[in-house]
Amino acid sequence: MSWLLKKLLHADLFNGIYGDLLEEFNNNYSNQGKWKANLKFLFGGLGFVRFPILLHLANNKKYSSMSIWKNYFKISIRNITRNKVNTAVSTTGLVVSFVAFLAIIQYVQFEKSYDDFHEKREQLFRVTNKMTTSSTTSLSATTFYGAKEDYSNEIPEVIQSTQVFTANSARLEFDEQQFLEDEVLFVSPEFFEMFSFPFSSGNMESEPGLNSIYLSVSTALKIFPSGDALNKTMEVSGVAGQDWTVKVAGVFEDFPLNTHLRADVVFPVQKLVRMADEQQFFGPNFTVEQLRWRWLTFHTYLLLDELADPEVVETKTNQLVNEYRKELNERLNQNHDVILQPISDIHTTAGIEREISPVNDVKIINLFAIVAICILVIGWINYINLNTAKSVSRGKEVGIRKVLGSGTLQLKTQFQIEALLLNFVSFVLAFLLLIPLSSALEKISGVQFFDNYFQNISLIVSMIGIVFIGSFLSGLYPSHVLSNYKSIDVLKGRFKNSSKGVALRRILVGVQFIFTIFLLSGLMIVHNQMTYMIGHDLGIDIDKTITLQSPVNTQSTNDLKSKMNTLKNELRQIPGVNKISIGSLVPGVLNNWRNSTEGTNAEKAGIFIHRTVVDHDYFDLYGIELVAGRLFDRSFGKEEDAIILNLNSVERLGYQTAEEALGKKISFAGTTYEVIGVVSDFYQRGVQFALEPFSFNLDTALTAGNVALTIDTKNLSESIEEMENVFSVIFPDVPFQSQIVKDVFIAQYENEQRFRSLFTIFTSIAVIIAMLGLLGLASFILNQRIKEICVRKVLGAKSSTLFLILNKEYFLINAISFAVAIPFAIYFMRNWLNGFENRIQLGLFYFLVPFVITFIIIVISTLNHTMRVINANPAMILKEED
Amino acid sequence: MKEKGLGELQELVLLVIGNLDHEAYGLAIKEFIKDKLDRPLSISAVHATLQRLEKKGFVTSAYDKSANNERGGRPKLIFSITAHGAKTLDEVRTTRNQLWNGMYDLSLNQ
Repeated sequence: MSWLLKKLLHADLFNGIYGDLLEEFNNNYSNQGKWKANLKFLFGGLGFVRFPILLHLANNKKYSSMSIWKNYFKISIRNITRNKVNTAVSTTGLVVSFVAFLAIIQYVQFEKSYDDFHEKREQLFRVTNKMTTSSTTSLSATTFYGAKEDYSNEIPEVIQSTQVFTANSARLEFDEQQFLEDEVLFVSPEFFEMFSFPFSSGNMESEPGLNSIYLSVSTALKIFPSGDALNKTMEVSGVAGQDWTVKVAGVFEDFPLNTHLRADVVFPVQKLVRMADEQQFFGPNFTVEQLRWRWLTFHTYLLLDELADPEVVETKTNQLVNEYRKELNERLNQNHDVILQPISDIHTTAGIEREISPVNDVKIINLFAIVAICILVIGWINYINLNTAKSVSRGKEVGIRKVLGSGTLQLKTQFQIEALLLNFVSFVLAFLLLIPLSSALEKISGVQFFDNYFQNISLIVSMIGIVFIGSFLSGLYPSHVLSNYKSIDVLKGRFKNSSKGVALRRILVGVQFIFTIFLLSGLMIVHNQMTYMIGHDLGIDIDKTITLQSPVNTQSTNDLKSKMNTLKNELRQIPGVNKISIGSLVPGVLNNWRNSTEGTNAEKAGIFIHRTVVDHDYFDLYGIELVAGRLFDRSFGKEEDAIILNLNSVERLGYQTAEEALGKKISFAGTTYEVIGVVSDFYQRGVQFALEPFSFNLDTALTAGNVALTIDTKNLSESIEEMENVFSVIFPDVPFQSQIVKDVFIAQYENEQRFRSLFTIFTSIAVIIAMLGLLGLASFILNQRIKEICVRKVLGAKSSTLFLILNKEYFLINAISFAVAIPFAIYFMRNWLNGFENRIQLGLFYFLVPFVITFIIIVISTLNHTMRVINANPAMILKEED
Repeated sequence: MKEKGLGELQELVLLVIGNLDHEAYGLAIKEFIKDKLDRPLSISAVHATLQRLEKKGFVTSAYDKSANNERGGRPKLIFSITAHGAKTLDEVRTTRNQLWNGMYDLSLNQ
């Protein structure tokens, strides 16, 4: 307060006034208490602002250059408010393009900010595994169990290391209430030290208890609404088939949205290892320790020394992995290489399997950034066009000003200030609009990121900078044109016919068209690619299929067999259910069970094939066709040694035909099977992925758990209700969850769908803004040509001829823009399409249609003006003298 | 610059300064008007009026050098009436008296 008053008040008065305030405060303090005294002090002090006579500004008033600036602003505001329609049109264009630009840049920035918040981010690397076999190369985000400990022990540059194992889900039970959690991790204790994920209470000790559990704040609050979760005990089930009692040892802050790691529930990784040994995950012959360098499902992160060169460490890790796996690699004919991936690159690197959370290709992010810049430039071009078109009406003003002694510089400053003012107002409006729009955008983009918009000061500052520079540039040309009018010409009214600057405006409109055609063709290609993928034949029949969540994990295995049999039989009784099958492989869900073939034959060994178990009805239900041999048959009994392959596996194993593979032996993990049949290929996870090799074993015990049914879709909800009744009688303590496979499949394309909807929105915005700009140009040029047209009309030209004459130049601009836009569109869209395994072919169609669309846009947006000119009465127009 | 004309509040403040003798600073004036005349004013309004009076040359101000702990060590800005101010007050009063004398009975004694 003292500071404020000192700034504001006249220097001679300050001490006296401030003393009065303090004295009054002291009086009030003793009479009325602290709170009231403070309040009165505050308002008493602020009250002085009301009286200019007390403030030093008023007393020091000088007539300086400030007053001309004040005048600039005054005139600007008058002009802006005078032409309300005109201002509305140009502000709308600017606001819309600013909103789009801000939104996209925020999205781009958010996507690129992943894992930037870790304090040690520059030293953190993930061990990505690159496996090469005779036929394939694949990148995996997970590496061997032993990597964490051995790298840390053997390589001095590695300061710390941690490993993460992702579980599908866990069921927590507290106080007879069940909670199903999807984001479940097993981590080693270094996890919370290496990454910046703080605990809000408790901690993960370096030797955590095996029965510890760590919860995120929001999960803890969900389970224990009353508050303190620490040291509470609860039951865990549904993880690796084991139930155990846990104690909450720590509650950590919810992970930020921009990290590739997701966790609501965390267990110590030692628990997983213990369970694996107790339950013999790898059969009776192997312990986890023995499989250190074979168990390949651990996300492993290394913290390197500040001075360490990641490339040097990478070669060291490579040497180690090849040393430990020497024998195995030779036997299985594989090669494993290590890639150390900087942690902040993980989210933007595509093409790696088994990521914890979906990634977003940096190419697509950059495409969005390009769209954002396109829209911004279109918006400013628009502004230039509209403003120069408007300048006709300002001509007289300029003339008078010049006569009264204004210099060119002063006029320019005047118009520049108008431009900046309008831009600034539009920017503020755009910012304000962004707040209510953000929730809608979040829904479409599927990313919650607008919360941190206002925290990112540097982003806002750079946005303001960009907008300022752009506004300046976009104001430059109109102010140049206006200030160069010759006062005599203008005052005589002759300047209307000047065609100065039309060429530049034509180029600007051309640029807008280039962007528009580019975006439109991009949109069409994205759209068609999506439709193509969704409608593509998967090789499996999923249109009427429903799957039920497996009850297997939570059940002890002894009476499971009979229960599953009962379930299958009773579900079959439900009217509307046509087919039913139980199998481990569910369409649209990544299969986690893969093995590499073993054997002495080097060519046939070391080939990764997906393993699945199915019942007799599986192939019939999914419509997978038999190519050679036979399917599993009830008359052959359990058929424990029999295996069925799909065509892709046959191909990878190097057999020329399906028939050739029949009767051959294949070994996985010490067991040998005979190939009895070959079935057709299918896209198990959607057509954006390549065809994959699958093998099928028969499971007569039905313990695979995932129930699939085909049903009549007519009474869908009733059928599902009955299924739930049947299910809950047999498995009373397992929640019933059903999924329509088609929906699961469509959800596979979530990333692409999101891309499509964002792209659609922003392209439409660009097209609308471009239309506005064209409107401005048309109105300007047509007004200039109205006399010419009238003369033509008098001489007998038909309306259709006039229409053509008036629009000829736009069509020409459009054609040139088309020629320029196509190479860009081809380049960028081919790049995008290359990310898909199955893609549409680029054809002329995708470029001609945007051309036609822009053509139609031209006709529509100039129609009003053109018709006005054509229908003008020549007598009225021509009688005016210039 | 010497202006004539005295607003109602200005006249009031001028009279209060006269009443307070040599203790007429902002807060004292404010308290006086509040206590004696039952008219609560804000301190800023009082100071604004004082400045207007000073501009018109009715009062002058000077800092009372004796620092005061109650006021955070800030001196008081004491106002006193100038000869011009006294004269103007007198004129106002004379004018009023004349007018009062010439006024017919307002039925005040009814």
